[in-house]
Amino acid sequence: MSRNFGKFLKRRIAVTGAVVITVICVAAIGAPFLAPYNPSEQFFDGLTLEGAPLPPNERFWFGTDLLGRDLFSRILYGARTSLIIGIVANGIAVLLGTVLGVTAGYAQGWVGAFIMRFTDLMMAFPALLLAIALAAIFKPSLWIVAMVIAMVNWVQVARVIYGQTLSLAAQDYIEAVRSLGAHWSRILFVHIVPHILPTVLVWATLGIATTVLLEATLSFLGIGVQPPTPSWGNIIFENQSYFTTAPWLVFLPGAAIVLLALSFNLVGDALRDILDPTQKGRTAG
Amino acid sequence: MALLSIADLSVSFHTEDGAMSIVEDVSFEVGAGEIVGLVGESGCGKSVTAMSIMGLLPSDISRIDKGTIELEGKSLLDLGEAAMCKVRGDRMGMIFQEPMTSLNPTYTIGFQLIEALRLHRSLSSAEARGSVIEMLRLVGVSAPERRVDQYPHELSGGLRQRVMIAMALICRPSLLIADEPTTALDVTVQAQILELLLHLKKELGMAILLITHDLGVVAEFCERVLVMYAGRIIEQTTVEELYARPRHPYTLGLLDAMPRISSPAGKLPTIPGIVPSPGNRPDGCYFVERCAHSSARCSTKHPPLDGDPPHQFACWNPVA
Repeated sequence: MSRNFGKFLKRRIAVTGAVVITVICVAAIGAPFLAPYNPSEQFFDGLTLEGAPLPPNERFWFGTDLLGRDLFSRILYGARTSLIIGIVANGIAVLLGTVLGVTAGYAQGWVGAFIMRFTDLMMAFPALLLAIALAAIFKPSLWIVAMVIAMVNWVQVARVIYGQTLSLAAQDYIEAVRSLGAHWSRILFVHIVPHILPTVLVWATLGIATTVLLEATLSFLGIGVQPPTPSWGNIIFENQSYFTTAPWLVFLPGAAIVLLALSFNLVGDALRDILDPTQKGRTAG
Repeated sequence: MALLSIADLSVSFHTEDGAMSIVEDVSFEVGAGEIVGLVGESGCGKSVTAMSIMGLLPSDISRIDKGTIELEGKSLLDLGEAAMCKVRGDRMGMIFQEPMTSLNPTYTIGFQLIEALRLHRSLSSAEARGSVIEMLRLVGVSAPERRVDQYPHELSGGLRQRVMIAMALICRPSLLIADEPTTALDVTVQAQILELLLHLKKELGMAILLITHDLGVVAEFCERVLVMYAGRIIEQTTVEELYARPRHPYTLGLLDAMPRISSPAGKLPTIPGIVPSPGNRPDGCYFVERCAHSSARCSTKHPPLDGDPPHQFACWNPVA
């Protein structure tokens, strides 16, 4: 494990990604102390005399939004929402997808057929429509939005993991291990699951970008995280009408989303390379 | 009492195209410490027979329609999966055709051998490691202390097959099923592996059921031979008898088709036609369409496996 950690430290880009993630996490946790203003406070002098948002200046570092609120404070608080969505919603989606995919791929037979037909059904159903329906049934809140996103996003993970489990289960060495008298649970956890982890890891990191964007979409439709709670997605959509006159209102939260997604991807890529079991014992390339 | 005895075994596969009978009425015995060859063309049911013994048939599509399989007097078909796991690897081991893909590439060979051992024996890791190194030495792996910590991709095909043999034999089973163990190897390595199996048989005293399509290997290596054709055993006898006096026209055809250094240059004799696929097997003898000795009875009634032991054959018009 410590050797893997050493390998990770050698990859500068991945370390940069990890640092960015850490900074964003610290910012999210420490938002009440770090934010210069209350994110919901509308400043009288936060708007020009014509009522337009202010560009970045000494008082409001990132400028103000359409209601005269401090954008920097809103982005700090928005990091909480986006991280919770990105980590919790995506984590649940990946976990659910992995468990179902592995079960279907390993059990096969009617269990596998049932799970995969259900997955196909979910895949064929428009994700956004499902999200809207679910959000309409439950009262939208941060946690409900996280659940809704998880319910929509596990499907692709399940498909990919199913395919991989299926091909792994057909490997000669699985048969060889069976011939040695290994029980199904041992084969599953010692010989199949470790091979799947790199894929899971990549999906876990790629999914963060997707979930953060899906949350933004839902916020735009009014069924995401409810204002005044800021999220990076709803900041963009609240302010999109000012895109030409006040581009920073869209650009800065957008940059935050890109930075977070990119950092997770970089870390995920490095972890995959390091943890890939087929690369063990080979000299690092 | 025979170590392994199979009686009237019939296995069918159930796919979307319907039910197909793969193995029909197979009966044979393997005595303790005996080496028996099971020969036949691809698709004749050799591997399915082996998988039935191991209890490794794909459960979703295959079904054992009838018959019994007994190992050391215990009926294997009556065992549940958990009980079968205790027999597999412990009382019987299996080695496969493809040593390159039969080892998990992500674990060291030591890990995999220790796993094989500890599935059946409660040993500390240190004790298990000791036995594993000893077993590797027994199968002729040089510098086993170093090899245990290597990954499969660091070993050659011949070495991997030695590791596979070590894995199958680590619990000292009384029966080893070798499913074309040398097919994927170079000719020189083939000979070494076969020598090794013979040596191990003397050392450990297990019986070997050798599945192959190579009659040369059978001649050199086995004591008794079973010839399979289209899911049935059509002839069984001792090796000497088989080569001296084959009675079934199919066996004769196989022997004639073997190239010999002494035979004049030119085309090798072949058996005309192809093996009937499961589902398209003719009434009567399955070999009738390709047989030069067939008579009217052959295409209506299936010949039973008959004759005085040890030489039995299933033919209405045996070769004299």
